[in-house]
Amino acid sequence: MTNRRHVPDHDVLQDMIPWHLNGTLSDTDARRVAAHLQDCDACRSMSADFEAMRTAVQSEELTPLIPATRAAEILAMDGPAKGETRNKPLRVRLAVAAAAAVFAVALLISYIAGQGSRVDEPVFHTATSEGSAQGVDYVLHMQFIENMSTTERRKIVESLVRVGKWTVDENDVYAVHLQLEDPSLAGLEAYENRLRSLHGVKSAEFVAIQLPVR
Amino acid sequence: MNRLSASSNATDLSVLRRVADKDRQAFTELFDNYHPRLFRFLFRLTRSHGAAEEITNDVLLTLWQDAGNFRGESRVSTWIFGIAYRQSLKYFRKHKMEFEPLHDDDLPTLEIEGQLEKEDWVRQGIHALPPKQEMTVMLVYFLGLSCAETATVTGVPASTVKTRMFHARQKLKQQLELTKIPRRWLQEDTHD
Repeated sequence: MTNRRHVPDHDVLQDMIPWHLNGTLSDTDARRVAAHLQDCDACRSMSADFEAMRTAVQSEELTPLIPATRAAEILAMDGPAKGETRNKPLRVRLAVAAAAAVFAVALLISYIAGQGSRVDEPVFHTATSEGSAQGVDYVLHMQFIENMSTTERRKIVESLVRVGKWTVDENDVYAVHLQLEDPSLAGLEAYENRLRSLHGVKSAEFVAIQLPVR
Repeated sequence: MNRLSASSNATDLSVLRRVADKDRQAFTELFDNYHPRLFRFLFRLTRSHGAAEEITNDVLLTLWQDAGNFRGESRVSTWIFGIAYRQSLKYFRKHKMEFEPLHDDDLPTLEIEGQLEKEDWVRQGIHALPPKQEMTVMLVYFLGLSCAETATVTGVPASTVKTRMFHARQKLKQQLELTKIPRRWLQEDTHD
């Protein structure tokens, strides 16, 4: 058995044993450790213990099913990207919804009166569309997670639309016309929440009201 | 052996810089490269699909939010697994996952000893180590990190990493020596 006192760097070599076994030592250090193990019983025993640990870790037959998480879902955890709808506190969203509705009605009235105001937001469809025979149309903007197919998106949208009218723009924002039974702000809020809870729906927000042309 | 050198550091660095600029396509590339590796590592560590998924998602979200904080002092992969290491510790503390050493009462009786291999005993012993020791063993032998890389991931000096490995080995040996069945193996080993 090797006398440690005659191996000046015995402790240094011993410290390297765990990494000699996983092959991450430099070639020089690996040769030194290998040579030392030939001569030192204590270190050889220690090496056997670490080898048992290494084998136990590497031989474990754990093949877990990788979850089908998508990158977009992680990004959604960070909140919507710039330009998308944000999830504001309830009272703020109700106030915004009310303001948007009032604004949309005012715009419609001014447009009909011939003033021709032009606005960019909220997106506003003309009052002469066919779907407004009864009551009021609410315009809902929806967006879906990146990996959701067009077919799946359309299934959701078409299941909502009773009037048969929806469009999609170049930013993949679906504008859906809905006739609702409960036009109260709370009702709109509840409707938005139900839509957002659907798998694949990234955002859903009422943006305008469309009144029928008289 | 699972080594972190699977994807080149230069490629990782380029992707990470784009992620720091909030490039979602770059994040998808990073996600595709690291999600499976992170999950497998964390599953080995936690033995829980739910825990591994939760921690993996937290790590990836952190990468999205903090990619700009990478200072380039280590390989990108080392930095990422460092985040995984800290998130794991946080998870263990939050869920109060306490690690008890194996006791004789936990061990199967002599009637069923034949069903278990020695590796299973060692594996159980590793998973019963204190979290920092267990994680160090996993980083070295599951991910195949060097001593310096392990030190960077865990945020401690190399000397501490070595101490943890040697304490893990010592604790494991003590645990196995307390059992009935491994004693038989230990006796067989000394006769080899």
